[in-house]
Amino acid sequence: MSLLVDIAILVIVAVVSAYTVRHYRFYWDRTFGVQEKASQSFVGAYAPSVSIVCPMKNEENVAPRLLDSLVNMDYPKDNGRYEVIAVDDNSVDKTSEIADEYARKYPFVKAVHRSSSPILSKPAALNSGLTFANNEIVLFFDADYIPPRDCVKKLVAPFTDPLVAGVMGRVVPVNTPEALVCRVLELERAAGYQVDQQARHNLGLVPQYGGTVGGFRRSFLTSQNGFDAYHLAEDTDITYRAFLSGWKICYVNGAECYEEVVSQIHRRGVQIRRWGIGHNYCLFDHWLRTLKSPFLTSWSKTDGIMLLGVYFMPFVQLAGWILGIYSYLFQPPFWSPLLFALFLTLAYNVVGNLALFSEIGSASLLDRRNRSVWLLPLMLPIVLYYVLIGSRSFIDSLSAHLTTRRKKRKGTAISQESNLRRRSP
Amino acid sequence: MMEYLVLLGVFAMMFFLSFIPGYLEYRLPRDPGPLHIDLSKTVEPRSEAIHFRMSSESLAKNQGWTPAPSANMPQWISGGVTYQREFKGDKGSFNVLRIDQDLTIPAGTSIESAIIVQGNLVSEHDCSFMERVYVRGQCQIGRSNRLNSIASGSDMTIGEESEIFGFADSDGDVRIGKGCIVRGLVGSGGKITLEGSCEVKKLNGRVIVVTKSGD
Repeated sequence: MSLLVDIAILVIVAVVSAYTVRHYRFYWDRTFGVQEKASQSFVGAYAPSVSIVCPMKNEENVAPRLLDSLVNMDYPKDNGRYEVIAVDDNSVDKTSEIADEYARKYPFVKAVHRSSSPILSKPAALNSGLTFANNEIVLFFDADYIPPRDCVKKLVAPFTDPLVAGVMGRVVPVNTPEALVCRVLELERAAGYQVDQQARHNLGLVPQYGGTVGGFRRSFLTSQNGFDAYHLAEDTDITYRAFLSGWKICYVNGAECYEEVVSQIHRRGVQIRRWGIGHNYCLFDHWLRTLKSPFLTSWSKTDGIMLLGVYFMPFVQLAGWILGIYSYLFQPPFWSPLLFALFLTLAYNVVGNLALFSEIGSASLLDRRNRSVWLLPLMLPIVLYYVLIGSRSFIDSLSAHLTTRRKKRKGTAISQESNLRRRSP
Repeated sequence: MMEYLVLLGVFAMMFFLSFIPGYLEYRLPRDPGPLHIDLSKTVEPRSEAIHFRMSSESLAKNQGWTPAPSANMPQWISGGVTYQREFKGDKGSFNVLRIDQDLTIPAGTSIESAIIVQGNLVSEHDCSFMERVYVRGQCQIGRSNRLNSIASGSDMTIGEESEIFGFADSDGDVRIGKGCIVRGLVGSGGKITLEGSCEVKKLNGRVIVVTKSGD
């Protein structure tokens, strides 16, 4: 038993160390390395035809703001080169009328209503929008986002490279003065985009499409039959489908867009849990294919698998703490306390997809937000919360995955959705 | 037992100390608002040059110019209506000359100040312009000149074998001579003509014509 515990702790320390090294590599690259700007020298000179799909479900408060931003976008609108598709996803408020009003007012705005669709999910709404998209590039914006006027020009520039399937822009919280939680989430976001995504792009690894403020070639989406309508992390899923088909995804740090972040910690917990479940499904679906992919370099495979594992890490952390405390109290060889201390130190840097501490510090300095970094210690209780939520989401997704496999073996048709609906909040 | 309690107390104190700066930032925030994004900003390939032209026009109209003492001015400028002032840019401060009439710069002249010419500009061969040049009227740069960057409100001609380290931008037509090197954008509101084997990083104009050499 004691040997098993020791081996388990050593494995956990090794995994956590790998993530720590990864974080510091990203931090170093972003802070001191040469920055790759994703064809941004073509901004303004390259203007392919673009469709913008905006899924909206009961968004009457924010829909006009987004649609105003999109109709005023600095982009050539001649000959159908620019179209906005507002997808009303079974809204019960005035979203539907707002979409219709904009469609009446502007010839390049279309309103799509999903009133009797069998699948109620964001990716299904995106697919509905996609069927009405006529243009070469399809970009996606959620309703609570506020893109600046230059955003689309910046996002389409990387498509000058024929191997680029998708792009992702930078998301910046707009409601930071609202609550302390928003300010802490701003730190997380800054590290995740300004440092983590940019470094992955610089190093030719796996920048991730984040579900909004980004998009794809329509030909790529069509070849993949659109998004997986049953997936809770359709963005991560499509990212991996692109990389595994030999395409690239670019991150454009300059294509900044405001978003509203949640202002209550329990709502953040719900988000993390939902993303965790979806992301872990991607882990189960794609880890082996990533490992075997002929299109990815060994570093890309390593990063790809580590990215898939980010919502598995809270579970690893929790297991590490429990085993570490057990080992420390009940079977302390001389090195147990040292190992546990090492684990705690490393664990401080690695939880979920949060590029913590060093990356947050770097991002704050790059954004010239020197005082925001004073809030960094507040990440500690939030990390503890994430470890608990993330562990629970891993157990839920693993159990749902195993149920699906068992039913598949028995020949029963079952969707991820029906499994997850029972489990997800 | 007492030692452990003291140690625990010290540990707890140090732990909670780390939250004090965060508490201060929360109560008296200096970075409270969202990270600034200019929502109305638009992208133009010629934005740097357009911005330079607008800021030069604005600078020319501003107060703070003093008549340049003719005793300290070089031969080619003396007698002209000339003003000067210090300007603080991103890379430190430098001197700016404002010439309120047409200007002709003799061969081999080296100019360390930025210049704003309110009329037309003609430079002869082998001149060097260490700082940016803005010309409101027409601009004719001679052979083998070396320039930082140049913008004009009307037609611009860059003489052969010249080198420009930044942009060359004009609201009118632009003609780039044979063997020129432009390391930034050549922008024009009209036609750009490239003669022979020039080397240009980027072009942005309504019409772009490449000729053999001086056709």
